[in-house]
Amino acid sequence: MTSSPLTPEISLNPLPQSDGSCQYTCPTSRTTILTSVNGPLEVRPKDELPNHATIEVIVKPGIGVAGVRETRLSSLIHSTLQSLILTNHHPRTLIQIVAQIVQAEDHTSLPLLLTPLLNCTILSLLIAGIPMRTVGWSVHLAVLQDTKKDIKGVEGQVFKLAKTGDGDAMETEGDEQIVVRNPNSEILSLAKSSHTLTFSKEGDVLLIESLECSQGSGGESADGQGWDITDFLKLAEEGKRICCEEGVEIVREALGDRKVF
Amino acid sequence: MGPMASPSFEVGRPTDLDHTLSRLLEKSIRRSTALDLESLCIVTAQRVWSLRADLHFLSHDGNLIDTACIATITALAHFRLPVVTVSGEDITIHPVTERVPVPLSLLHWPICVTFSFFGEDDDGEMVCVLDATAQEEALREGDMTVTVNKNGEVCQISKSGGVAVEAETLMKCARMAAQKVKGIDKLIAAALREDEVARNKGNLDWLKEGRSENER
Amino acid sequence: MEGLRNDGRRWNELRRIHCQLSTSSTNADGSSYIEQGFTKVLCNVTGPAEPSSRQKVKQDAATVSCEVYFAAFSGTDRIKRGRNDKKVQELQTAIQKTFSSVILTHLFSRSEITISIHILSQDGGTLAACINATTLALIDAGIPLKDYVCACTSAQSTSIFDNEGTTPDPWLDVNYLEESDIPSLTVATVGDSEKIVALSMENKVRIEMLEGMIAVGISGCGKVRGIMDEEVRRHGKARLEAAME
Repeated sequence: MTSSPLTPEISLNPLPQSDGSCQYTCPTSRTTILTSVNGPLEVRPKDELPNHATIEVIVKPGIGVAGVRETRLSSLIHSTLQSLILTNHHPRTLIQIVAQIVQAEDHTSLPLLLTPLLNCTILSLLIAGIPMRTVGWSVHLAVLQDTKKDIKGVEGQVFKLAKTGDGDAMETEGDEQIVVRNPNSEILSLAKSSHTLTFSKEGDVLLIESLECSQGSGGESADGQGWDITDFLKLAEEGKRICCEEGVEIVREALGDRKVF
Repeated sequence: MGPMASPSFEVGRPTDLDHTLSRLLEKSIRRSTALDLESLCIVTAQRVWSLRADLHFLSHDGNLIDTACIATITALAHFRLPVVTVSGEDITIHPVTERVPVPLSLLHWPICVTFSFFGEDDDGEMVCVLDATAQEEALREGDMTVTVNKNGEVCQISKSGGVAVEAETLMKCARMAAQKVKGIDKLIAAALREDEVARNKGNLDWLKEGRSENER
Repeated sequence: MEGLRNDGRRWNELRRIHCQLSTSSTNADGSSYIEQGFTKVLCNVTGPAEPSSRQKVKQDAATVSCEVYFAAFSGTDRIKRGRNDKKVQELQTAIQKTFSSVILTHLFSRSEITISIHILSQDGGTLAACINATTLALIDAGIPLKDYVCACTSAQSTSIFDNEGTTPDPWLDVNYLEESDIPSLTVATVGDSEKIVALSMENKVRIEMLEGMIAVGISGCGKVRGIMDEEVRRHGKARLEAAME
């Protein structure tokens, strides 16, 4: 384990040909993403917007050709960035973002890929000097199903949240839920639910992508499935803290003296 | 090949370069029987392995063909196939942890070398350049790709169009390619050996851990 | 002692070449038909004309585009090759690139020259026959060329005749059987300069053998050029005489 397991490995501008690029490796799952940003470029006439820049996001899979999953990922990133980038600063131009999945534990898992993709894209946008309203950061949180399972390899990524539910009779021992941030695929397979939360520097929500993944182990009655809304709000509160404090710190540190905000 | 390598590549529209590249790689590697296809057979006429090589171009500064070829060959040489045992009807694929996977049987390493021609100088000598940058590629008047392995066997030559070149110059280029390939071959071998060492060290550590656990 | 090849030729003999110009005078600006042994190719050239799409417009030169059609009955197996077939596309780019450098394209800016080739029968040396047919069709269309582009194939026989370790003579102008058996290459030269404009080889061969193969190929190109030139002159003369009457 490295000395600080929480910080992702970031290398800036690995591609000399593009306006801004970034390689990002998630500390736990070793998911590696490479993004390049080019822009503002000339836009194809049919995509031209009279008052805004066109944002194009292309996600390229590590294996095989792009399919539905990649389209979904790129549309999620696109809609997040749409609110971040000041598109009206460069009307009738194209901002082209290409994200290449270099390495992933599980090339098919959408939640595992989304957080690294978003963070990497935002970093490369900063380097490319694309005007943005604010900076965002994304974190992936997995709520574990079984509180007793010990988790290996991700110490320091685990924290506990007190359950708010007033303790149904069904409630098992321990009124805490274990949350792992940036889980790897092994932990995700144990998780009850997975939440990708993206917040701006100011703490505004940019994207919430949550997934129930207990796979019907709650039995026939839908018990234990889904998540409690108050629990979720707590989780979101925690996610906001991570994004706004640690996330912004990571960005600051990565950019070093190139501080742009 | 996407806009990441160079903004001039568009998404979903294969360029001429795309076609040339895939054809050249296919000719260089598949048609020269670099890979022993029979070794990928599990049960004759029934089950076979299928290998797929995905090439991602991250940054384009010329000479994509040679780079792609070297990358593919290195990847093929690096690749390890899980061991399979067949007993009667049953086919078992042993996981990597159970049995050490075997490398592919690569019969030889064909490596592409591309020359760019820039017309004749004042003495009537052809100006040839090896490993051209993107700028040089945009200005060249002709090109030729020779695929050679380190044994001096030419697997493929392709020169279509461009400036007309004396046969003697072409032969000189081919011989030079054979020379260069020996160097590239050594580089690949060194990189593979380095990786092998790094991996084995890891493997040993892992084995030790397992042993100590057993002792407990 | 000299051996004969399976079709009775010596190592340096070409197959019979029959060529014709202006074969379809109504629907093309230039056309030709060539038979090299049993390889039969028909070629039509249109242009210089208005480019078919805006992408093809070049401000300082003509665009050369090429379409190759394989007749389904042309080979031994009945295979339909579509537009996106790899072999078709490879032939197209090879011919297009070869002739872009030989046609004086700078004389026809903002126009397009279309070469369309129909392969009626394949018996080895398809690329060579296509190149030769295109040269003839371009001449028939009156499009200015630097010189004739002539192509020929040669192959390295691994015959049993190499006594005393000397390498056997390379064979000239291979047929289908030879092409599928032994390594062969196609070489195209410009005029009688012996300068190579296109070279393509797909098989594995020792680098020492290459020189001999290219040399034999070039000598073949010279012979092909002679035959083509003769036909062009004969055709031109006949045309002139017809016009005089």
